[in-house]
Amino acid sequence: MVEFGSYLLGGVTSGIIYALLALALVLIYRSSGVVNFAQVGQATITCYIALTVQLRTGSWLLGLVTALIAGVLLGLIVQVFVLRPVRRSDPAGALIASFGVLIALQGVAGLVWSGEFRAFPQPFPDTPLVIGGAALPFSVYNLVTLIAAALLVVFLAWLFNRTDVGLAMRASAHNPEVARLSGVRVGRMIALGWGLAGLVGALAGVLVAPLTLLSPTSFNVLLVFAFTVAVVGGLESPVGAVAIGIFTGVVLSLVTGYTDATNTPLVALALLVISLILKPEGAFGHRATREV
Amino acid sequence: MAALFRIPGVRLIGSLLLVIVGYRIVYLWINDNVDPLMNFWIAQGAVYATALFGMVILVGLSGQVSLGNGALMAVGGYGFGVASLAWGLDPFPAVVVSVLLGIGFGLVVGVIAARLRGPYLAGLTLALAVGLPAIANRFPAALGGEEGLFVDVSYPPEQAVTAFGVRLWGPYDLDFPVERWQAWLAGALMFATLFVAVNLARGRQGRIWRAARDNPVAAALCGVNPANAKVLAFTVSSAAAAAAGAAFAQLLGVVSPGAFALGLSLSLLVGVVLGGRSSLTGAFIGAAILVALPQLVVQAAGSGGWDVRVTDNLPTILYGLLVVLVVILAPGGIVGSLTSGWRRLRHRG
Amino acid sequence: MVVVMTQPDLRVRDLSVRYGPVQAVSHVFLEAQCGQVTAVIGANGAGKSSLLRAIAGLVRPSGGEVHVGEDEITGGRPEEIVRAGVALVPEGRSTIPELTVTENLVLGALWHSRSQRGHTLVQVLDLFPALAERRHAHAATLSGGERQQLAIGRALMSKPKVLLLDEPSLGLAPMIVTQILELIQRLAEDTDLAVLLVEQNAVTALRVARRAVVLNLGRIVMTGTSEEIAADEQLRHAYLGY
Ligand SMILES: Nc1ncnc2c1ncn2[C@@H]1O[C@H](COP(=O)(O)OP(=O)(O)O)[C@@H](O)[C@H]1O
Ligand SMILES: [Mg+2]
Repeated sequence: MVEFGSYLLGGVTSGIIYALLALALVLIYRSSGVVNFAQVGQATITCYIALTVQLRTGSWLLGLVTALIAGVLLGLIVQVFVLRPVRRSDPAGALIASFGVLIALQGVAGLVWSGEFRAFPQPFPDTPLVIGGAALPFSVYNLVTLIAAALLVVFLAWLFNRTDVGLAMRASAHNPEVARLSGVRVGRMIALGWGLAGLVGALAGVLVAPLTLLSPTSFNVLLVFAFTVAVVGGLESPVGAVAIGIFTGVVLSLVTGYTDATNTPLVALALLVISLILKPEGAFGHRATREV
Repeated sequence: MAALFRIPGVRLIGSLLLVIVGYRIVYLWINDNVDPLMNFWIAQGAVYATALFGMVILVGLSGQVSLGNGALMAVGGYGFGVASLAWGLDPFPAVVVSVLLGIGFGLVVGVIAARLRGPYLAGLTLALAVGLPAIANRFPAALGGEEGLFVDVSYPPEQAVTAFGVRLWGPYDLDFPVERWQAWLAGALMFATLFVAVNLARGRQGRIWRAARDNPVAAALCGVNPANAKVLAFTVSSAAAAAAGAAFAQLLGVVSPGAFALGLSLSLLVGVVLGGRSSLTGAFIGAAILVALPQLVVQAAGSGGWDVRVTDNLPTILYGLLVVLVVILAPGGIVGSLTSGWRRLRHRG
Repeated sequence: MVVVMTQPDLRVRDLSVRYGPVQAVSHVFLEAQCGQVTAVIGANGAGKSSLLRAIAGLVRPSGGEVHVGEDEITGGRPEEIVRAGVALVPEGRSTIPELTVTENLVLGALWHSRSQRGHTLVQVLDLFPALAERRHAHAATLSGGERQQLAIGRALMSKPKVLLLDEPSLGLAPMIVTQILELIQRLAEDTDLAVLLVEQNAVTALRVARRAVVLNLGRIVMTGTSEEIAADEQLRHAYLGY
């Protein structure tokens, strides 16, 4: 029973991280109709930057802040210099270009930081929290992840639903032509969406890196989990991404806990395949009318 | 020439002749006259080209972006490994087994994939690329786990192999290099796949694929079932990938999850995009680039005294940048740009 | 000397639009004066939408000029042109169904200050009581007529000097069409707005317009007052089909 509790909470924590990455994918999909497969490549780079800053300054927080800023900038750069110039008549090209970016970024990570596995510092104890002599089934690290993710989600909800920029971003995503006719600078809103996604992805990276060792390709499997979450949750739906993320995290954590870790990618694959068979356009998604 | 190939009978017989002459006379002659290292590269290029023919049909002609063809190669590779190790089959029957396995697997995935829109399909195939090789870890007894299965390279046959009185290859002597044998095998599979691919792509089926890709509604009105067309494309591409996987197993001497990692799938995407998404000729060019670029970097590193880190990562960076540049500046790839440039020249002159 | 302050007019000179080999609009000259409705009528495919889209910046004209008062807006981007005072209501109920009625309206004036925007919102909701009632509902739940009103309301939120309407009557019941067009006519007169109304439905358009041009295959085949055009039987038979 204690085991079950800790698997469950571990699952919630990793699920939140998958959800954050999925959220990054959803943010971009909604603003520009592209699934940004380079997202984990961007997160890898920002993690290495955070690691470098931490090693130089000894400050985890400074590393985090640098990673977040770098995440935003990298998202903007990828959008402006890669995705924007791709012809609109070539949707396959946009997908392929995002993989090109992923490949290039992994190469850059290997070139600058080498292909060796690096340990990423864990500033928060990942041992059961003890309050009044009783060991609780979660750690400070679990709590911090939860709070950080919750703050971020609240911030995004506020931004999208309560601010002018958010309204402009939603309008640009739903109907760019009407948005432009209303005076919205749609190009900027799309870039902003990529920047926000970069921020979310960077946070997810810094939170997940202590759990795995960091290498140029160590986030690849996370891309699969995040994509699974985004698809099962519907690529259009931030709420779906978070809910399904936590669910997936728990399932995978129970599988890892009760059987063994080699099953985890297979279970993720099975989840994805089953959900695509049942609902080819995602569980929370609307039936697409734009593409036939 | 290209126009003649549109006539069905001419195409079938013409391409058969081309493949036989190309393989038996040109390809084998080259194999006999280059050193083992060169033959290793040729074999590697043939493996890539075989898989890329499938990518041209899948990504180019039928418009389904797949990142999973490396995983489909793994299906073929493991099929070959199990067939030759556990069942003790000779290389050729083992290849047949792996291609059949590829067809079956491609059919299943293709049926699921045909209903999906672009990003969903790309994600599914990505998950295959990451998840499928992990199956080997799940069944270490049958599939060798992380270490992999060591495939017997089945050294060249004792006698010259003949078919219908024509010598296919051999004879060999004692210092016959194993690489030449590997290149022979990989080449045979490449030409056989090319034969199938040319006849599908240049004929009626090619038109059906393009129609279903560009305008599924109109295609459906003309009696074409776009979903069936997509499933067929996936199956053919999976068969090609399986053949390539079998040749790859031969070449490496081992099938392991590491050999078929995500990187392989991404390389195939790079190859098909650089060469030209819907051009079989482009597949040759893409294969050549995939083999040559890392070698060029190694050479430049040798003369420039670069760090290993540079040598290891520069090809990857270049691949990524080239893919991005090609998609933005020349979506038709190298072959697409050459043909459109040539057309412009002719119109002017 | 008394300087009379009026809103500027829209003037289109020698405007052409091509899509590759297709010449959709050829050398069009027209003027939409403030305080009145000017109609552009013509059959399907005559180039009416292309003309409006070129004025609004959605397509780049292949030649010619567009002026609003003293300012030239030719070839500007739509988001700049709407800020210069030219608002387009495109063909087919151009609202965003995922947003609420208020959000759709506010979207039209995001670059105004909050207080100014609130002020305009009250005016627009006054103009369209049906929208006021449903202002928290998602646009997806509105009827066709309400959505057309919402689209017009969104354009009015930007406080335009020139309003471009592309077939507002499309698919609406005659009663509602009359209501909407009469409202537009009153609005033009009361607020000194220049309205350029594109219609296939000539009868209705001519009823509210002071002047009109007839477009055929991208060219203007007649310009005149609504009465002149309505009276020209030959023209009606040839181009307007009634
Ligand atoms: N985006 C476009 N691309 C190519 N041709 C177009 C496009 N939009 C309109 N056309 C063509 O331009 C001509 C005028 O169309 P349009 O301006 O929509 O006419 P109307 O609004 O009067 O019906 C038609 O022949 C139409 O086929
Ligand atoms: Mg029109």
